[in-house]
Amino acid sequence: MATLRDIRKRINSVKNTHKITKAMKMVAAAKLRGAEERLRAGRPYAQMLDEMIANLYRRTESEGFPLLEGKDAVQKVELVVVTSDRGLCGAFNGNILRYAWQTKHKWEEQGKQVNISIIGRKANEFFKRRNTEMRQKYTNILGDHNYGLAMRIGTELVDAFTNDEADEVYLVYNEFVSAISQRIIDRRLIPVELPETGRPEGMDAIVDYRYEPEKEQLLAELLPLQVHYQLYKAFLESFAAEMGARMSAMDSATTNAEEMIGKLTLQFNRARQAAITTELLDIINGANAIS
Amino acid sequence: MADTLSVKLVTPTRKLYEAEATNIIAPGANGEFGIMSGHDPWMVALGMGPLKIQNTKGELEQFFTNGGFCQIDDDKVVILAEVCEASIHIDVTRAENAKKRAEDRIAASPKDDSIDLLRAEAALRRALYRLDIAGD
Repeated sequence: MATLRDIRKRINSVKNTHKITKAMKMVAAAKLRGAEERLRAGRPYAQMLDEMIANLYRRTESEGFPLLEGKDAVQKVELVVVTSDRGLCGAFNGNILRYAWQTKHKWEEQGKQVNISIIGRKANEFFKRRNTEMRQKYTNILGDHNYGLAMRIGTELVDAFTNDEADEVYLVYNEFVSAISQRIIDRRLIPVELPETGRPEGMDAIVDYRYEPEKEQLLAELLPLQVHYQLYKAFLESFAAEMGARMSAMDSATTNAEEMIGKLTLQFNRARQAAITTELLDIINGANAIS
Repeated sequence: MADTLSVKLVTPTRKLYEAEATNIIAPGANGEFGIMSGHDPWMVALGMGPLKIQNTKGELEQFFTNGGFCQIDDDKVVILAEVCEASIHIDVTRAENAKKRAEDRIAASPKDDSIDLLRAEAALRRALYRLDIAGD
């Protein structure tokens, strides 16, 4: 049986873990709020960007926007997988990576060449273990919510598309639903999807604008912005989802620690009581022997 | 009021300006231009430089923008910019450091082939505009 000292040690170590998980939960909650705030702040921009693109596209007659209309033949598919840099967030990374892995095979069965680009250390580890080559790796970049970063990665992806290194780009990430649930999102990043809703009413289609430069060129310049923004949004969503997942993982860890402390304390008290009883018996027996 | 513009200036990270204004001076990709009430419907790409909005109180609000798009329709002006900062939010120390770094790179470029001169020059222009706008 465990000695008193052993049990006390266990209790202390569990208490320390309890403190850490509790702190991590609170940090995650604060960061989650920050990310949600940023998501909200970006919405007006997204809406107007959608409107401008839809507006312009409706007014251009000519075709020839591969970024919007896609290429004739799709041979190379690029999967951009967004995970977290750190663990301790439940099944957050496992789910998304399993999904990405399946998707990769699905494409390959259809005879496509699949390139993987990853964001987040966990994805890097995952694909490295499976000896899968990654075209681009970005690790330890989430968390500072830098739009410039999304611009850089977006530009790189658009270049890859233009240089025929990729014919279609898909973005796989976790979307924040609530603190206890995330949704896996697999959406086409390039060619850009036209917004279904948010189109201005038919009325102002009558108004024709003057354009500078020509509308075709304007549209071509606007489209990469959509790619940048979708990436930025995916980073924020994934970050928010990660924090949500960590929050609930740390919450259950904290509850477990509390339960364990309770059990151990009970065990400790019993052991102490047993020791006292044994000592008492010894004393009484000793006293009886003398008299 | 009939002779004001309703202006929205948005970036991916925040809404920078949403109010009435009497006029706007913006850096178009092909040169600076001004907008006042009654402007034709127009859509224009922006370049790098100062964006000035005169509000209805007659005060001039300045922003630094690096590219963007401006849409004018029926006295409604929408400006989208990926990189745009209000003059009071410009980080002067950072801009000064960027200026120094860019100058050093330009000075070293004849000897060092690894330096992208165009990029360094663009960085210098950005830094100078930022300093200029923050200084006003």
